[in-house]
Amino acid sequence: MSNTKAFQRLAGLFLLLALSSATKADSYMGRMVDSAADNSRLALDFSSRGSHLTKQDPIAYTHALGFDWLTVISDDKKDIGTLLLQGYLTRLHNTQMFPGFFQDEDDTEFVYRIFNFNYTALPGNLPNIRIGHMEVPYGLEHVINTNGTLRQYAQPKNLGIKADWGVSLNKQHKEFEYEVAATTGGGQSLDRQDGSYVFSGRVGSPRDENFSYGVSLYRSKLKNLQRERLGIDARYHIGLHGIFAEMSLGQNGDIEIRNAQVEWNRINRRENITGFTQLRYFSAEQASGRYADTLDGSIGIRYSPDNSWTLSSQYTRDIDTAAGADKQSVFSIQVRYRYFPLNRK
Amino acid sequence: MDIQLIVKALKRSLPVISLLFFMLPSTLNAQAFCALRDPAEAIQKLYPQSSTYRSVVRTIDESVRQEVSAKVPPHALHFSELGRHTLYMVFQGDNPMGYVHVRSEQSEWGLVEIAWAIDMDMKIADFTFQRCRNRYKSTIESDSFKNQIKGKDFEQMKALLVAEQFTLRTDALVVEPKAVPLAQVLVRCGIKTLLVTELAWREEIVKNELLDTARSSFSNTVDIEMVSRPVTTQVLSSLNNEFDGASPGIDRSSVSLAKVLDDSGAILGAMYRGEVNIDRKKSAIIWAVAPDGEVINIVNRSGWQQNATKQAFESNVGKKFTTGTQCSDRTQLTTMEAVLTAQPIFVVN
Repeated sequence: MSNTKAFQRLAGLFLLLALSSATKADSYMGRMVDSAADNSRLALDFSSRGSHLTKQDPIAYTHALGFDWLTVISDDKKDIGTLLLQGYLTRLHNTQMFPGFFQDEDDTEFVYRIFNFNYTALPGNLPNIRIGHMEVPYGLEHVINTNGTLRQYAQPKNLGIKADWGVSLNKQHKEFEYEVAATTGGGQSLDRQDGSYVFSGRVGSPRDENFSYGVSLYRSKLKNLQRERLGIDARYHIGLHGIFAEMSLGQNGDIEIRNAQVEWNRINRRENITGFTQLRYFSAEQASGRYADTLDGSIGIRYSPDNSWTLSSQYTRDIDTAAGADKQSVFSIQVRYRYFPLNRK
Repeated sequence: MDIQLIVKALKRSLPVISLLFFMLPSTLNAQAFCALRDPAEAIQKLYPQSSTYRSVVRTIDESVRQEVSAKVPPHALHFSELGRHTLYMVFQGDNPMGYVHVRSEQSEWGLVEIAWAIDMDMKIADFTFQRCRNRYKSTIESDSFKNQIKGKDFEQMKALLVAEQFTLRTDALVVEPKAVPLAQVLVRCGIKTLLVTELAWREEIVKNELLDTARSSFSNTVDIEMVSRPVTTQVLSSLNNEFDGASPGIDRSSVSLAKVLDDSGAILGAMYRGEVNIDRKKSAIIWAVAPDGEVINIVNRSGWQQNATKQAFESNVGKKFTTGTQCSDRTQLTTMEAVLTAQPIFVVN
């Protein structure tokens, strides 16, 4: 199904929500709609990125203009759920390495980032139920949000997908947290593509601790390629420094896959400057039984001078490539501005 | 890397960047909202008996920042602390237990994020670190330290610091010397949390105070309904007649009034809340008034300063106030004002 159809379905859902606001104000539904309005956070989000790939001229641009809307729907005594909608009109220009939902290197598409409702009203230890477009719960990416930022982890290369439409069960407990998802494998599309599917899940210790870790499982069929992964990840913070690591083992079809990544980062006291460096290792078994290894590294910085602006830059370079392929490097700069039009009570 | 290409890229982006620079300033954090999460584990830790919680999101704006600067000058809010923030109202069944508010404080070790449990009387009930990269975190989270903080209100927290400074008073708390810097961060954060919560969520806090007091004053209380303009021209005129234009000392701009309702929606009584200067301290006093003008209950939720004052106010409980000539002291005059202001509720009924 096309993005347009997906959007129409969602628009219908939200129209129903909007109509419910026409019910009398003191009704249960009316109070929930009021709470959604009162608890609303809205940002208009603009970003412009320029990337220069080795030996490529001209520079590749990605411009995104979108909205980021978060609200909590409540009744008198409890939260019912959280609605988070992020949609971006995204324009590529000369972008050679583009995600599959773009037609070519000079395309414009409406892109859903996170677009879901998390129902949180089940009592006790029963899980929350998330439905919509969500990040595939796996590894470091599940803990550190990198949507719309230069800093990325190995998720797309390792799993073949970063976010997808589907449903998940999730919960934070005092001692652990988890999210288990079943999604369509359609990526930006609501529908399955050639029988695609994704099952993924991560169980981890509470992410706010100075040392946290998690175990992830993943199984998918995307573009007729079956993938399986078992991953572990860990984060350790000491003072202003952080060390993150993730390791995965598994298969792409019959090919054994091993990959790992490690990051060291440092923040300043105000936490408006983050510097980081990453190493990513990816290894795939060849027909000969030997492994073809690749290694790349990134160094980057992000600076937020105020609540709206974020300036970031990153340099990524291949350190070791498989079968003597050309070593590439990419230098990127991004400017991001978030404008907050609502200033409710 | 071709520098000219980078310069060309920046030149191309310049019109967009310039346009954005002219846009209005904003009031929220630069991170995307998907990074925000409810402090669900912290709420479980702080209120183990709780069954549900409800988010109330409000704007901490320039007016709040100015009030904080006026009341605690050394603890002014940084601009990054402005924006939309959440107060979590925690319930056990139908009964509100208190609040949770999470605030970040800058420190030598990055931002320290503390989840504060605040009771219904706006005193510290408990706290837990959401995030803290200082090695003395466990010292500060020990019961022996926590017990020194629990139960303190805004003024008592403020008194832990040297006046107009960031430093902890040497005799204020028992804490090992190496943990003092973190204790200072915690106390500063607590002071700001209590003040900001009271300023930004005043409407919800007052309503909860009145509902809680209504439940202990009128059996069969199910809910309360706030009166939007309690001190009307008509009420003001009747107060002026009764007190010859003088005022017994209630700050009329601070008055809140609510109808107390049973399960059929019938009015059981009225709850009146007004701020009064008594015993050299501004206190919010709540009166519960029956439809026939009888005073059912008088409560100072932050605690009476002197026992004599408490007794003087409580001696008015059970009495009906109809004229100012009945009043022989200030406690009776303020009670009379509460009863007169509440009367229109019952007339309408």
